[in-house]
Amino acid sequence: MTVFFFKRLGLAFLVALFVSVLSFFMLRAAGDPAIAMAGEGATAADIEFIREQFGFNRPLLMQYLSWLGNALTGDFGESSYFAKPVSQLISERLPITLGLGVSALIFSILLAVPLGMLAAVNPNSLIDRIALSVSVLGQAMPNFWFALMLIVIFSVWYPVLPASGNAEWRHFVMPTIVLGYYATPAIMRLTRSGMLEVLNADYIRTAHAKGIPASRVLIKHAMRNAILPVVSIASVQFGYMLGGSIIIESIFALHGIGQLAWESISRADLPTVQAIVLILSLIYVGLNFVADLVNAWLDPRIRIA
Amino acid sequence: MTMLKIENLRIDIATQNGTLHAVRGVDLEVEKGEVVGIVGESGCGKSLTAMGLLGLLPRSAQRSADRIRFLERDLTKASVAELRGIRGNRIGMIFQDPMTALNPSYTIGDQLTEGYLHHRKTARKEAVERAIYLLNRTGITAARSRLSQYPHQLSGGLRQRIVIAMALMCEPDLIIADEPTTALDVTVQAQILRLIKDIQAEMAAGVIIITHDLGVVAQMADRVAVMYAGEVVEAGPTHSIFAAPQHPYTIGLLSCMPDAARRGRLGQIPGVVPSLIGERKGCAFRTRCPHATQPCRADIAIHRRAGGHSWRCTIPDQTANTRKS
Repeated sequence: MTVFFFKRLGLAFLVALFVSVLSFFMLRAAGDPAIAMAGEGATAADIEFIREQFGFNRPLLMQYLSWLGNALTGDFGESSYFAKPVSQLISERLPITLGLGVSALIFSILLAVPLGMLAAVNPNSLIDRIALSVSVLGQAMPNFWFALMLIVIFSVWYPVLPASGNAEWRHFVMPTIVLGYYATPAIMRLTRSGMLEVLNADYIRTAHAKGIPASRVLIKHAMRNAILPVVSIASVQFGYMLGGSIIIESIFALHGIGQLAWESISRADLPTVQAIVLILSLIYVGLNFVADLVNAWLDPRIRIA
Repeated sequence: MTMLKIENLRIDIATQNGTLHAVRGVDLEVEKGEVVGIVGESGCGKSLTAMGLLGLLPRSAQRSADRIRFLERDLTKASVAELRGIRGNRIGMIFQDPMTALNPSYTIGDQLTEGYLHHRKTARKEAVERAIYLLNRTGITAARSRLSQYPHQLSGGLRQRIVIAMALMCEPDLIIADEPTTALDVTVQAQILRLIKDIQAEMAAGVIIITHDLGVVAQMADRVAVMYAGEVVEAGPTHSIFAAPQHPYTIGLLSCMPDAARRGRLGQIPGVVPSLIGERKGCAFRTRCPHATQPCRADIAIHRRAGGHSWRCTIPDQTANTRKS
């Protein structure tokens, strides 16, 4: 297990490094940052001044290394639009997005896993049909439309929940439902198919032949093996949620990192965009690392790899 | 003393093409301390008979029986909870494929002690001691350290010994072994059979051994039931079945066994097993039987001979035919 841990950690580190290279160079390839920052109607002298000030005239590799070196100490430079350190902006905004993402993930797991399990235990029953409808609906419904419908119902017709802002927990209820429901179909279908497969396994029959209660067979022997792919997909879904929360955050006016990304992209605020891309990717890499560890803990066969 | 008496066991499976009658009125008895072999080709219903006895059937299968008497209890009337109290406790199961019969995610120790802890409600330490005793008894070295290992770390032969030890944890009165050696190397097969036989004698348990291998039956069983297409076509003491088989199917099966003393071509039974979908009248074997006649299309009487040998055929005594074929 220790060997496995360090192997995976090394791999995660390499991926993170690669991501930092990609995010830096691809954003540079998108256009001359000095021209974008100077804005419309800027003179050649203005552009040259910006180039000088931000160091865009240095060799690209040097720029990358100094950016990376600063990033490692938590210094992402200064936002050209907000005129604040990027690290401060991110530390203000990230908790909101992470809070939304975590609560949405919990919501979708609490909805999808029990529903998927019930559907697998009673295939082709009423509960299976209901589970199928829930997932088809989640797959088919655009989440911005679902968000607007929730606002119409719970903020306009029956004003029980606030439509915008991020002051207290009530502001997070509707965004959590929208974002969480979006991830529900994949998790539920995977739980159902994994569970169906496991329930037909010989070792489930062995467990029944021991005479232990059916609920124990289901939870101890079946679920642990069926949940493996769900752990992987849940971490991927969480990554999607962090990215996909841009839309949800703008609809509900949550000042999270998604909204910050949108603002800084539209204002060509290069240091901020770079920092956001890097941090979201690192969170993603971290999640996959954690999912690998959880799976190894659940399934002894993985630990050798 | 008869510990198990099954009367008219039927198992139906709903399929898209109609109801498949997989087991068609099987009667079976097991005495205390006796080994009964059930032989037949794959699909003849031998495994389903054993599973049906414990209620371990797939969801699509439906069981009915006049009576399944096990130790003064009728299992057809037992509740689900009562059945669970018998499974693993009074009746132990040894499964066919040791590679898949064990849960990959739990240690050997956990899986061995689980049933014992549930049925006996004892301290873990006692269950662990019992597990170690049985691992030693089934010929596993370094038993104590095996308990913390996972199934994928062990060979097929070792895993089958563990499956056997698991079936024996609660000292069952009846052991059902479903093709216990089919998935193993030939060299290991003999050891495992020897082990089951020794333990059976030691514990004076009844054993039902299900196999398609007549060699296994000859080595292990006191009595044999030959199954064909969902029915027991012939049953009796092993020596009597091997020395004077009466049903043409049994005769055919025996002629398929390699025999070093006999030269020439190995026997085979022409044709295929009839479909099990729908009701059937008359002898199931008549389409492949060399002696089939018009009366074989009607209901077949069961012939019984002293010593408990019985068979289901229109011909009262096949001894003459045996010599011919």
